[in-house]
Amino acid sequence: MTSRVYIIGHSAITCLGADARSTFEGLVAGRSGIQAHENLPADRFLQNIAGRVAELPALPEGSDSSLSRLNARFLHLAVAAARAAMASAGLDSLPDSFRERFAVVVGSAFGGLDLLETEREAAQKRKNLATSPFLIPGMIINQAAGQIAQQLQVFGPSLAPANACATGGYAVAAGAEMIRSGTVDLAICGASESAFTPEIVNGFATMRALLGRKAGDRSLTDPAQASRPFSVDRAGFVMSEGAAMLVLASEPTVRALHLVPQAELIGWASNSDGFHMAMPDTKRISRCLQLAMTHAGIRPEEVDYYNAHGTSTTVNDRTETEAIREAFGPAAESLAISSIKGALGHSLGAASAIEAACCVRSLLEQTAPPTINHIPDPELTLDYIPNEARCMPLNVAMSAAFGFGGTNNVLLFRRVGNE
Amino acid sequence: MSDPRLLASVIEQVRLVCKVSPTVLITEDSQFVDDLGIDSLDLVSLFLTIQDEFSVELDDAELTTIKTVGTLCSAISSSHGVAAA
Repeated sequence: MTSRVYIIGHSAITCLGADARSTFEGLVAGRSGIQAHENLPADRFLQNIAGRVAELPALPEGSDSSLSRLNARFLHLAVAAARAAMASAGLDSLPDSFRERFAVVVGSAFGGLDLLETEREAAQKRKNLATSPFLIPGMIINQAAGQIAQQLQVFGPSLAPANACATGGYAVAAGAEMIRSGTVDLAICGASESAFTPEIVNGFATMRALLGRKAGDRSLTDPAQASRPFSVDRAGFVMSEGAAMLVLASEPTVRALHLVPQAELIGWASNSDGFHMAMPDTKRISRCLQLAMTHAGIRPEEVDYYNAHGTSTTVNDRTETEAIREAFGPAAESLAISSIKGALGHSLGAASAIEAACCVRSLLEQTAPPTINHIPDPELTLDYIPNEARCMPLNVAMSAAFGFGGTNNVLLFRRVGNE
Repeated sequence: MSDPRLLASVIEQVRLVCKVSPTVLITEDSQFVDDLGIDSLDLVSLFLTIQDEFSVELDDAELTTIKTVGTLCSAISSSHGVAAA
């Protein structure tokens, strides 16, 4: 007997807002969280516009203080997002009997590289080469899951996916598998990212993945127009940071704890391109979309909204459009598609977790956020919900993510009460 | 008996680095592990900070013998003495 998997809580901390509500309000209003940042100076960084989280939420009083020793920003974002997701689920207090059957599945693409940079500078000044004892615990990717387990006092399995820009989606799928198989009753799943070190920013820039400083680019006069997915003048992504979590629960757990489902996770799929270290592959992405629909037992025409990977790079947005056409067939023409990366930039590993949270929010509010900064591309002719949010009946939402290394993930959510 | 200014500075670093509650009294005789409950990682971090802040070098063999705030002050003083010699 396999259980249904419900979303009972969600959170997001982004450059548009400190929580899921303000982030979604910003998205629907068509605002951008992207701006120029003085702490990304041009003599060290090849991109100085970004989506930064304005302020990290403070830890509640009485919290375990070990997090304060670990000065890696992705950890603080992860724990804050986890706490917010638990509050959204109404799980501020959890019965002890559920603590050992509660999984933490939280990943990141890069982990604590900011801490590595800080500590490298400090260590180079010491004759004995000594390094902070908190460097290793602070930069390992699975420390996010570890700190969340410690802060929430949950003791089930922990897992830390590192699937580049598909990390968050993989985390949700892995948590859902654990619930569906009966391994756990509850899982907090998501991802966190803050990778603003010169090597990472400049590495993406050198790959020509980031928007560059090109004369005449509209981002030079208005940084908010830098990220423009599916637009004719898209020219690369804009780096951002953030974290998001979903709390998943089995159907019996929802009943036992009197929880309120916010959406149902009806299907998911993951696959590999087996093609290239960084280039996406239409055929395998299309296959992943199809596999998710098969897993959920739905037809293409039943998907109302598609939250795109939509990075704003020339290649991704064209490849993704082709993959959608291939997977959805004639239904692609009426599919409402948007990329919230126009407003939020690309938070790498966290992006697909944020987009999953956005799908849950879209189903709750029956509103699809727009793709902002959009100027039509004659070669990309699907419905990208250009520039203005759309209030519409939303029963099923799909979230898709594709990462370097040729790793793909697709999630399918359904509004509760409409099954 | 430690230099009072040095002792105050070291106590300040102990509180800061090892997150010792302001309600816990720290004296020259306080033992890092038994009295203040400081774990091994915090202790290493404290010694590293002390070396950075006070511009001293404490070798590994010496660090294993430092159990109290007072012995840490003594180690800093003698290291300064050696440096000046």
